[in-house]
Amino acid sequence: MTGMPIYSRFLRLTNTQWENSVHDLLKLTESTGQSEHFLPAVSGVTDFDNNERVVMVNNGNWGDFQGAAEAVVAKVTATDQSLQAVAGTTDVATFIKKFGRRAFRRELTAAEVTTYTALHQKGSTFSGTQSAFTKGAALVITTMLQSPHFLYRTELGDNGATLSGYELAAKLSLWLLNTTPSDTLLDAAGKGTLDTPDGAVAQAKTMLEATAAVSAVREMHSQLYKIPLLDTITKANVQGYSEGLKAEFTAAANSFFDFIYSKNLGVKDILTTNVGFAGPLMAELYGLKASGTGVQQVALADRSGWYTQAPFLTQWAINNDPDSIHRGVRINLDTLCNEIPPPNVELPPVPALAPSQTNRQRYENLTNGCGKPCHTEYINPVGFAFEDYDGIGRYRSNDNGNPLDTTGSYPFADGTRSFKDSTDLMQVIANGAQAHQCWSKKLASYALERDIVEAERTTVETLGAVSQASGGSLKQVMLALVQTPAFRTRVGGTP
Amino acid sequence: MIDGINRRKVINRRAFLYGAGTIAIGLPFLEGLQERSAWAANAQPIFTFFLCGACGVEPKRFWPGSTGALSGLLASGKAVDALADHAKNLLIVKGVNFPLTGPSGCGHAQGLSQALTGKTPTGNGGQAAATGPSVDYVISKAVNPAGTDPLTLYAGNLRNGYIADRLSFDDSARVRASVDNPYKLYQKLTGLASPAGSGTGSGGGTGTAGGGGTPVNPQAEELIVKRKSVNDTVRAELSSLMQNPKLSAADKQRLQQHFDAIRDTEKTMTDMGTQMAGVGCTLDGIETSAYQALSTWKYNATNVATGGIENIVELHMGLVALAFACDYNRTGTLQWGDGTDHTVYQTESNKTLGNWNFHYISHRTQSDGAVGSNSTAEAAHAEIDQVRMTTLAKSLKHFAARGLQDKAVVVWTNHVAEGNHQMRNVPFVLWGNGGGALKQGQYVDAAGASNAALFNTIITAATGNASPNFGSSGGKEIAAIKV
Repeated sequence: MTGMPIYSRFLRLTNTQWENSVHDLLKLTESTGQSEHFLPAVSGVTDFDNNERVVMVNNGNWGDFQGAAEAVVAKVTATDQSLQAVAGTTDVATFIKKFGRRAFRRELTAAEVTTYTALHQKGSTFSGTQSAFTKGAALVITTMLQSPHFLYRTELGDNGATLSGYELAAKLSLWLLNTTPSDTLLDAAGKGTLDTPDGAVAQAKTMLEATAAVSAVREMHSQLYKIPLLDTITKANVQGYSEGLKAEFTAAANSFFDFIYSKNLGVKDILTTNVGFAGPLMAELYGLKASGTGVQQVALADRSGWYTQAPFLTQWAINNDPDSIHRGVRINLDTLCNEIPPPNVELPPVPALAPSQTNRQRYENLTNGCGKPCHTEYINPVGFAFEDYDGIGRYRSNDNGNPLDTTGSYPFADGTRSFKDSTDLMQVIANGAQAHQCWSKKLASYALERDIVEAERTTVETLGAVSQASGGSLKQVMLALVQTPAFRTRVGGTP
Repeated sequence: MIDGINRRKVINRRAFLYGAGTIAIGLPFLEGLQERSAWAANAQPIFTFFLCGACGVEPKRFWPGSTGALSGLLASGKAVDALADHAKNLLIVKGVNFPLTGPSGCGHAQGLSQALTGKTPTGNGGQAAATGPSVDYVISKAVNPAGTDPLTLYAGNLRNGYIADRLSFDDSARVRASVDNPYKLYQKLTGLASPAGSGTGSGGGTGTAGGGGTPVNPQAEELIVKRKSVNDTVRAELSSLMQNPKLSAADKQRLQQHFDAIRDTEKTMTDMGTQMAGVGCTLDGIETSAYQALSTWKYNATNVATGGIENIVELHMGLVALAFACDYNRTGTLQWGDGTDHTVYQTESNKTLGNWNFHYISHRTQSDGAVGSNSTAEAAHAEIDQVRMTTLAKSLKHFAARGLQDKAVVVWTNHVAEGNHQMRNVPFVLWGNGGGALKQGQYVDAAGASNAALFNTIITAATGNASPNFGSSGGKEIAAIKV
């Protein structure tokens, strides 16, 4: 497990977290849309876009936060009535303490109350037809939305110490709901309810059942399984493929991971369930009768989990031929966390299929020299297990007129195991520890907003065991993570 | 007091603020109006912009036939012929190498990491990283006001999950984030200039242009005061946090970065027109509807609805020209295509292929890893080069229309020389004489010089630093490109 954690005490809200938090703070009925125009996080250098290495305030985005704060506050304080929908009081101190607690995700200090009271006084003298209270509140809210106490989730205690209740509340809410903690959660934090592992877990359990949690977990899977790439699929001269499939693939993928999460299923189910989702075009690929519009839940007999579904199989294919190498690479990287090295330069081209040659034989010949160890041991066997699916995920019974060979073996971390096809491979992977630990590692990275390193192997193994156990669900792993020191304490970094 | 003609040709911040009575309109771009003391104090600034295209070129059908004066050279069926209208302002340079001329592993991240840094990158595969700042960042530090970083733009797939942002790097060699939708920059710039067709450049305000003591709009003045109150409070909060002895150096640096980014809108506007004589800070040539149509745009492989990714590039470039003419920023970059660019270009040969993505075309086979020899793909690559050079030509017209020929340098390069990841003889096409520093109308041979040396020459032109030592240049410049 390699990485370069900073162990930052200041994790800037992601653009989505900013949007959701402002929405909740200002009790808006719809999204402000402001974050659509924020500078995005640096793309392509971390697994997830909330990684501490790519979330900060700098010259490139400071103006985004300033402009957005001003724009949303202008709307909310346009009239006294509109502000009252947010403030619910005209008492300055009450407003500052109440709104400030929600914005800063903790109680304000006395000094902060004094500072913001002075700001309110100053703001109240500005021009405008609104009341002095509303004008003052406008300056207070504008400032709070640009404050480091709002823009950063913080961990300010001693290294090794348990996070404060408020810090834990923010960590839980921003991770599980992608938004600022509710008043209820802050109340619980203030009462010390989150100070014990059980207390924190109880709060997390409630959050896991919220609708917002489904969206938050979907976002993690979207980045982990490269769902946005489905919209960039290109095919040349493939009968049965149409551009309309791309939208169905994306919708089906999101529905699939929502289903896994919402139904209390787990990694095992991601790998082995025969439940899938399909729209009318995808139904044809699956040989099913289309019903209705949009994607619907379907039973995919003889298919085993995400990797045997059309979105993945179509993404990693060359026109109508299986791209055995990249199917294998993706599973190695995303599900087995096997950090395979990059390919050599100027690889020879994939030759055209010779008469009576199988796709598998073609790739075996191609990779027999350059890159052989990685290919023959790790990449190819996994990729070849899917030779019974063509380039758009349809089942095929032969390969260029020859019998299919989907058999192989793989050197898992806990020993080499053989399999006869993709269904068998998925079962083998689901039964072993490696995929469970891998997903747990990815989860931890997303939740902790940083890279996970070798020193945290025990944590990953602990979480993996929860996932691997009978009935182990994504939610159970998430709750187990909440109880770990990695989540609950301030993990010290370099001085 | 400046003369009336110059005053009308330039942005006038006082006039702008007077016109900012509609504060809701003024808000998005006011942040561009921070103090620019360097501008007022120095001579004519030199603007620099660096475009980097993906996947190299098809060399046999890219370069002019022979070196020498470009007049007459740009009519031989090569991709650069598309730039013929700009011949007198062009400098095409062959024989420039990257420091790491032969990549290890997938060369795309390595190429991107040295394309503008002029230093050998570290690592390989998708994780290759820069080892120094990029030329735009170095120039920005010298010529932009504190708090203004280079424009960092992108045309391609930011969410490819492999190699995306990887062109502009800061002092610590950290990659900088880019903006992929021109609409975002458009929003910041709108209102900075006069309405199209006004021909005045007076900021669209209704007040008296020029310095002459006209009071600015009271609402705008109040906005400045409000922002100062907010900024002072936020600075105090950051300072307090930085006092915490438990913070690591990295955390302090993070907060300091935030602190340094906070900029006050200048209180006292001064007319800065004299240095910008002849430069058009107006919305002429900016097609508002084209930008507004992109308000919810997201990249897809074909980009048919937007007229192809090349249209995104041109829209970006139109705004860069405006940004320079209005002195919103003085340098920047545009990364055209991600590391393994899967954009589908609708060219004739590619239709024959069945619409391969560009990365496959550059490899001459349908593979991200393998390299083949498909001749139709080779022809398609040449056609894509034509598309790119045509787009560059269209983009440069925005710069020419704003009179930036002798005040700017626009550089085209690629992150690899050819589709096989070769990094020798990487294309360099320069437009503009950089204040008279660079040859014009020539095709020259740099004879194996490094890109760092080329950038050294540009840094000297842009910053006045007579002896920069950029990247791995060892302080060398390329005499063949200098006047």
